[in-house]
Order: sequence, then C-alpha cells, then structure tokens
Amino acid sequence: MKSKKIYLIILLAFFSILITACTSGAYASTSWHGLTTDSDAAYLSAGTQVYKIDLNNGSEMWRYPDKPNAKGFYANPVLTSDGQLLVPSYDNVLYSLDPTTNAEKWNFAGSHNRLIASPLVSNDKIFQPSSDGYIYALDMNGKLLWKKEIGEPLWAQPAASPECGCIYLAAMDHTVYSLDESTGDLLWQSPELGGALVGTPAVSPEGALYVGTFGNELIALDATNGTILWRYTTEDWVWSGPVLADNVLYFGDLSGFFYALDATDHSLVWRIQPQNSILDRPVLLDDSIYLTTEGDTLFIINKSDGKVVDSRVIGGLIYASPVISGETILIAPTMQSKTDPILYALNLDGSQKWTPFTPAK
Amino acid sequence: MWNTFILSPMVNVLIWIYNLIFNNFGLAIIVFTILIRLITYPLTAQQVKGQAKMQEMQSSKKMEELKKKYKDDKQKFQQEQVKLYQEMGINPLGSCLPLIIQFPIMIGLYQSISLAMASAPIQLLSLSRDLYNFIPASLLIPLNSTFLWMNLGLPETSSPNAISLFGFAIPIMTIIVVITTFLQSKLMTPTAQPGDQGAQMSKMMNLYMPILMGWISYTLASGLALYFVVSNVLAIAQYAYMGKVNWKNILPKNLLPIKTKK
Repeated sequence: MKSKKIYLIILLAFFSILITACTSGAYASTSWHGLTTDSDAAYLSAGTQVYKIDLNNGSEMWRYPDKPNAKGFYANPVLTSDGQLLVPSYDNVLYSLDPTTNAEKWNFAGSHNRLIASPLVSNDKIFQPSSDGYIYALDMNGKLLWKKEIGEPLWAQPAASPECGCIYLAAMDHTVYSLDESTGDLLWQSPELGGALVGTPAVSPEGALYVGTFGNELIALDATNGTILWRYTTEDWVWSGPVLADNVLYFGDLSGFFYALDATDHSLVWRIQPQNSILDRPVLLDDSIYLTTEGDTLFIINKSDGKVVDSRVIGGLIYASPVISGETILIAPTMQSKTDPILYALNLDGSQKWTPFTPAK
Repeated sequence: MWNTFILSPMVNVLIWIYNLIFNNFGLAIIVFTILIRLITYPLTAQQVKGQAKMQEMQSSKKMEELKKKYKDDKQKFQQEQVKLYQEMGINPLGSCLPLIIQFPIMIGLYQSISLAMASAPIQLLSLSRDLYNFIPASLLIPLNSTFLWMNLGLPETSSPNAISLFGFAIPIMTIIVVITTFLQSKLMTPTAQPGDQGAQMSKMMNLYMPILMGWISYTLASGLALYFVVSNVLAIAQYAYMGKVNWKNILPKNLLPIKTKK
C-alpha cells in the first residue's frame, strides 16, 4: 500500500512537470514582429501574415498571404524607392509585394534557411543576408547578381556607405565583413570580436563602424580596413547596433542598461537602467529618445542627460524598436495570445491615437 | 518548473559537452545520449525485470487456474489477480514507471536541442538566460550545427548539404531511425505465449512505432533523429548485455544460436 502511494506521488510529480513542458513559454513565438511605414500606412510582419494598416484610423487595408504562412514573417519589411515592399520570410523566401495591392511581384527562393535579417537596398541592388550563411545580392527584379558565403548565420541587416561602394556585414561568426557591392568580393574582415553580432553596424561620416557584440562590448572599427579603434565593455550582451547622432552612440544591453557613449573616445556621457532587457534600437526625434524594452513600457528619455521624462505602459512583450511616422509613434508588441493587439499607435505626447490593432479572424 | 529542473540542466550539460569535444554538436548529442542511457540504466534494468516477472506470472499455473476458475466473473478474477501480484511480489506499475520517467527526458532533450541550436531570435534570447555562468556562452554562440550531411537544427531534407538523388533530398537518417526502431521493437518483444492477448498489441506497436518515430524524425530537427538512432542502438546493446534480446523475432531459425542441453 505504501509503495503504491509512493509510485502515485512520483507519477503525479512527473505529470505535473510534463504539463509545464507543454505550457512552457520558451517556444511561444520564434521572433518579434517587424514594422515599417510610409506616410499613410504601416506594414507589419506579424508571424503568419503581413498587414497593411491605415495610419489615420488603424484599420486593416490588406493582409498577405490570404492563407497564413505557417513559417512566418518577422523581419522589418523594407520599402524601396521604385514601389516595392520587400518581405523576408522564415520559409527561406524573399517576397516582393506591391504595397498598394499586396500583389506579389516576384520572389527569390535561393536561400537554404530562414531569412531573419531585413534586406538592405542600396544603389539599385538588394542585399539579403540569410541564416544559411550566405548573403545574396539581387537586382531590383529579384534576379541573383552574386552570392557570397560567410559560413555562419547572418541575422543582421547590412549597412552601406555611399562613398566606398561597399556593404558592411555583421556576422554571427564574431566578425564584420566589408564586401564590394558590385561583385561581392571581400574587401576586408575584422579580427575575431569575441562574440556574435546580430545588430546592424552604425556608420559614421568620419569613417568608423560601431557594432554591439554578445561578448558584452560595443566596438568601434576603422571602416576602411576593419581594425579595432576602441572597445567599450557593457554589462551584458548588446543585441542591436547603436544609433549614432551628434557623435553620440545610443544603445542598450540585455541587462536593461541604456548607454549614451561619445563616439570618438568612448567616454560615457550617461547611463540609465529603465526596466528589463533592451533588444532593439531606440528612435531619436528632436531632443527625445523613444525606447521600448522587453517589459511592457515605452520610455521617453531626454537626449542630453538621460532623464526619463515620460513613460507609457503598452502591454505585452516589446522586443522591437518603436517606429515614428509623422506625429505617430507605432509600437508592435509580440503577441502572447491570438486576441492580443499587435500594433499600438500613440501621439507624440504619449496619448493613444487609435484603438490598438488586432487582426480580425 | 520544467525549465528549471529539466530544460536548463539538460541544455547546459549539452553545451558543456559541446565545448569539451571539438565544438561538434553531433558528437555532443551522441555523448549526451550515452550519458542519459547510463543514468537511466537502473530504470531500464528494473523495467526489464518487471516485464520478465509479469511474463512469468502470466504463464504460471496459478494464473491458468484463475483464468479457468473465474472465466465468467471478471471482477473476481481481477481481485484474485491482484492477490497473485502481491504473492509473487510484483508491482504492476514497476515495469511501466521507468518507461514514463523517460518521457520527460525525451521531451527535454528535444527542447534542449532546439534551444541550443537557437535558430531564431527568441530561442537565442531564451538560451542566453538559461545558460549557467560556467558556460563561455559568448565564445561558443553560434553553435556549429553541421554534422555529416545534416544541419542538426533543421529537418534533414531542409539541410543545405542534404544527400539528394535526381533533385530530391533523401532522408537517410530518418530511414535509419525507422530501421533501428523496428529492430529495437522486434528484439525486445518477448516470444508470444499461445493465447497471449498482449501479443497482438505488441505486433501493432512494432509496426506503428517505427512509422511514428520516422515521421517525427522527418519533420523535426535532425538532431532529434540522431538522438533516436543512438538511443535505439544503445537500448539494443543494453538489452543484449542483460541477455534479453529476442533474436528469434528477426533471425531465421537456422541462423539462431544453438542451445546446448546441460
């Protein structure tokens, strides 16, 4: 009788652990939503579908595809000057859509793995990094011009410099690469930087590149040859690249510290720790910084001294950067249930502009 | 609870092994599976013993007598059967519990492979939080997920180096999973006694399990398929070591080892 009770208790303990395995949040979503805007609409890659949402009233204008794509869309879509909306997908395909009608113009299916990074459009070429370790250069009709094998997954949107005719690619193999944008030839590669890189490098007009790494550092490189100019140690992994404005670098880390760093001599201008991990870039507008953290809040920070001047609780988990279009702040939290809103619109003073957008079934 | 007690320890051990043996995730899965099999060996041994006792009881004279005596009274038969269990010192859960305990290990292993591969941002973020301080995470990430022709974080046929024939990717590891699961089921099934009701059930399991495991291997990360293959081979080896492998189920009679009378 006693041994039966013990067996029952052990069984119950294991079943309860199994149940928590089924409800574990680790696999609720594979990434956070991507967002871009033009003057009238927001384009939101939100998992199984991409939505076009009217900026004036928050109504849905179209969705793509009609039937949900199970593998999903997560990277920020990119609008091109010739009227395309480029949407990378976890089904390994880069789609070009007509932003007005959502008609598919072309697609590029040459990648062997997920497209996690947004493409870069520069000089009438599209540069799409892939998790298969290649970067693909396409013309504006989706035709492959060249591809270059880096080896390890590429999750960061590349950066370009108009002067050098090159692109800068931060890779998960702990290295930054500079490639000739016409041929894909390697111009230089940085030394091993001590941690994976998943954020877009910031490029300064003075010829420096700034990258955040998983080695708890922000590193400045010489954009002409990839040598290290300086390193700044952070408290934790730096996920996104920094934003450079008026020779100051703004970026956050996974411990929730937000830094303002002098871009020339890496001296600390100020540092704050608002709340929770910071995974994406802030947005700068006039004298204010708009920052979202993994918590549920938007912070408005004074650019000069780092003081939090205002904050608004949004809800959900906010991994993605806010986007400002005209006088509208857009925030795309990661959905935790199918009934959660996936896009919030605020006025610049933080008041709600329209009812948060939840896709209709 | 799950993350703290199962997933985090597993993923940390897996990555610790990866760091020790040439930064090769395939080898890490193999070594990790061997460790898991060694740790759960007492449970496997208990399960085998329990099965043997049950089989012994099912074919015992007493059981035959009970079946005859209470063939029209099922309730009474069950009561007497429980008494017989107690007399013979058999716990009916004894052979089932070790099997149940292995389920969370299997689920945990699958999740830890997916988590360690961190093939998407939120998985990588979770991994960064699950790693213990002694793991040099920033140096190791991203883990090298290539092993033989597979990308262990992807289904086998989606791997860039998948073996293909006439343009179609061949799921070789999936085929090996199906074969080893079939062999494992066959070799571990005891010889059926005449009138054994469980035999029909075992036959069905021998057919469905390889198909199920094959489907899981084909659709999920190929790292899991590698785990299944290693685990199946080790299970057969463990049963062989305990002298419980039933060669009669797969070998023709003339190839069976000849038993000499003592």
